[in-house]
Amino acid sequence: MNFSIITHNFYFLMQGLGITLKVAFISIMLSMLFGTILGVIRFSKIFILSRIVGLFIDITRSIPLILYIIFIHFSISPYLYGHADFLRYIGIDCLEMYSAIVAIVAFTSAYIAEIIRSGLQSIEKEQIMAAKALSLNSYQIIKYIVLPQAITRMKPALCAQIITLVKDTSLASAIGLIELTRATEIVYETSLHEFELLLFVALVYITLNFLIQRILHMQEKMLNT
Amino acid sequence: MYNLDFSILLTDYKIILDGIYTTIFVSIVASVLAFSLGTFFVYFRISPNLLVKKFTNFIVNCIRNVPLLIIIYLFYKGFPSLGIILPAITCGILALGIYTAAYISDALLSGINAVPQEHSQASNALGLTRLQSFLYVVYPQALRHCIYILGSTFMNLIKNSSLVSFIAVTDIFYVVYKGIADSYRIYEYFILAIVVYCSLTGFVLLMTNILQKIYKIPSAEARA
Amino acid sequence: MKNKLLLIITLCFTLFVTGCNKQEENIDSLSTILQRGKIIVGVKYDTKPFGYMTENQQLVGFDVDLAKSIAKSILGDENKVEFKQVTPSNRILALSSGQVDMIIATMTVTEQRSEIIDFSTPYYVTGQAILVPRGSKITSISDLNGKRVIIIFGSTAEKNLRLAAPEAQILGFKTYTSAYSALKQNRADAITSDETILLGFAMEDKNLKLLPKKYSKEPYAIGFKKGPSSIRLRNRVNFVLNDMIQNGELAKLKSRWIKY
Repeated sequence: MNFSIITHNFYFLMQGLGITLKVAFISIMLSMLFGTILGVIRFSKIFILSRIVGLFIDITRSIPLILYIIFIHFSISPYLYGHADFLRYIGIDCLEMYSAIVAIVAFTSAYIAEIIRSGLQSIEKEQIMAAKALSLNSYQIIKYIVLPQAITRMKPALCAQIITLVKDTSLASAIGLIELTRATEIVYETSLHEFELLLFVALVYITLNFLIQRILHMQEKMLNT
Repeated sequence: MYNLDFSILLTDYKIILDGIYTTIFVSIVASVLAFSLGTFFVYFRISPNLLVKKFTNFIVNCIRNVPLLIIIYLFYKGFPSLGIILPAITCGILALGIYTAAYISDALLSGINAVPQEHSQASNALGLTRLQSFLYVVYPQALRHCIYILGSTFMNLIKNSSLVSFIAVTDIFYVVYKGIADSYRIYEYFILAIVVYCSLTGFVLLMTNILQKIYKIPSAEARA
Repeated sequence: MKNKLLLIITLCFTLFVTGCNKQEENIDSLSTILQRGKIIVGVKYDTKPFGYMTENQQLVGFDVDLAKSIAKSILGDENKVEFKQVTPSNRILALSSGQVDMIIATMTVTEQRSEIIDFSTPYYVTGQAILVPRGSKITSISDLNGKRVIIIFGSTAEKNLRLAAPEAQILGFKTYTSAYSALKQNRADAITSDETILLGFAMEDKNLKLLPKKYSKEPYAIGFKKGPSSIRLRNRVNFVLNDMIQNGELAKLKSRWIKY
């Protein structure tokens, strides 16, 4: 067992970790945004929109993410990426990163939309009726009754989805994005120490996700006091 | 404008059917492995021995925090450097099974917690050992509570089985990726993949709903 | 706390939405290159002897040197070239998305590919060959019936294989290095690909042998984006290639990199 290969390529592997974190962070922000929008549309009573969005969500939740990544990378990215120079300024500097982010955001938004929809639906109608009887207007009902309870119910599922998203960034290695998994592949392709490297990478992912769980937990405790 | 030409799928139909068969095979075998291993894990997670409980919790959490791709590579590329070379399909099934077992043990744990404590206490009083009371009393009842979540875990397993294509197992995703790389007919293969995965997961959803109706838990009668 | 979150979300949203104005359509790649002052070329990073990384992370190879000569002719300086890594499965994508100006990546001219991209005149001709472990009983392509054979996604080797050995069990890999390690671990019985690429592996590893027979003609050419925007560039490159063939420079490159 030779662990020196890890120290030799440590900088390269950490660069890969940086790309993973960047993709994960941007994807979390964007998919929370789009997921909320989609979830609210799905929950609303506008028949046509709700059905169309529902179809998109159901199909997206039935297919693997890797399929999304490959499809978007081969068919949509080439056309969109050429027209968007501003992306370089946010730090999306290669086609693979763009495809990965778009695919992960589209995929995760469907899951978050489902979480939000079920969270909103779980508020019993009686509470809303009682609030209306007490002559609270719509805005007050949402702000004081629906939102606090719904957010509390959605929190565990959202936290789990964030962890899943961080793990899903490893799939972007299939299209060549040099994130942590691909960086490890590159290092062990030219050496014979696959086991040590893979063990190291597994430990990095475990630590990363563990830290994220702790941070989300602490935030929850802070908001609850 | 792009011309949809599905004839490419017809010429390759044998490979496609082979791919679908491999996907189903890998999914079924992996889910049997995952289910047994998950039951094994959850038995230790409800152990009164604190050390055993914490240790198993730790292992399950570790498995859940690692991407499935890394576990697959560990079996396929990592073990050979220790001298253990397994065929690709075995690596895929083992990795998939272990990864999903962690999720199944979580699902079963929630089901077991839904079974009232009185049952295990009563079976203890009747002289059953812990293992017997688990296997014959608590476990079957727990299953009823988590049919839906087990079904959704099984759907996730079918979707995750697409990752075995990374180690040259010819499942449906492998066929689709190869088809796209060779012929550049992206949309036809993508629609094929959507149809296959949606029907597989839709079938599982249907089975889950049927099972849930059959094993419906009678709503709590008035507790006398 | 909530207001801060809302602010971050709005910021990200505006970052994403602003700046979606259409870029000027590239009328002509050659003028873009002259304006930019360098050519961006897609080459292989893992294929001896055409494009590969040495131990000190230097990119060298036949295709690499060819790109440098073209840069010297067009821009006057052979260092005015930037390289990007491509693999058989993403090289055409790199071209059509505008990430590279041209690809010099052991790409065989085929009718199917000519419908999607434009090719220069061929600069090298090789053939399809088979790589097997040293003690293997396989001596020709028809021996591959019933054996496990590796091909690389996106390469041209599969068609001939299917015609000559329809019972062969075909495994596909995305990169040459993973194919090579699979052969070493006895997960397959042979790799079939272009002869020059397999020669790169056989020269390094004494436990592998390259079967002598070649099974097809594989002309390599430089790839350009399809359409009127690359006509001038393509003509210019063809001119440079013909020059190199006539004054012997191409032959010198060949003898430098492809020794057998």
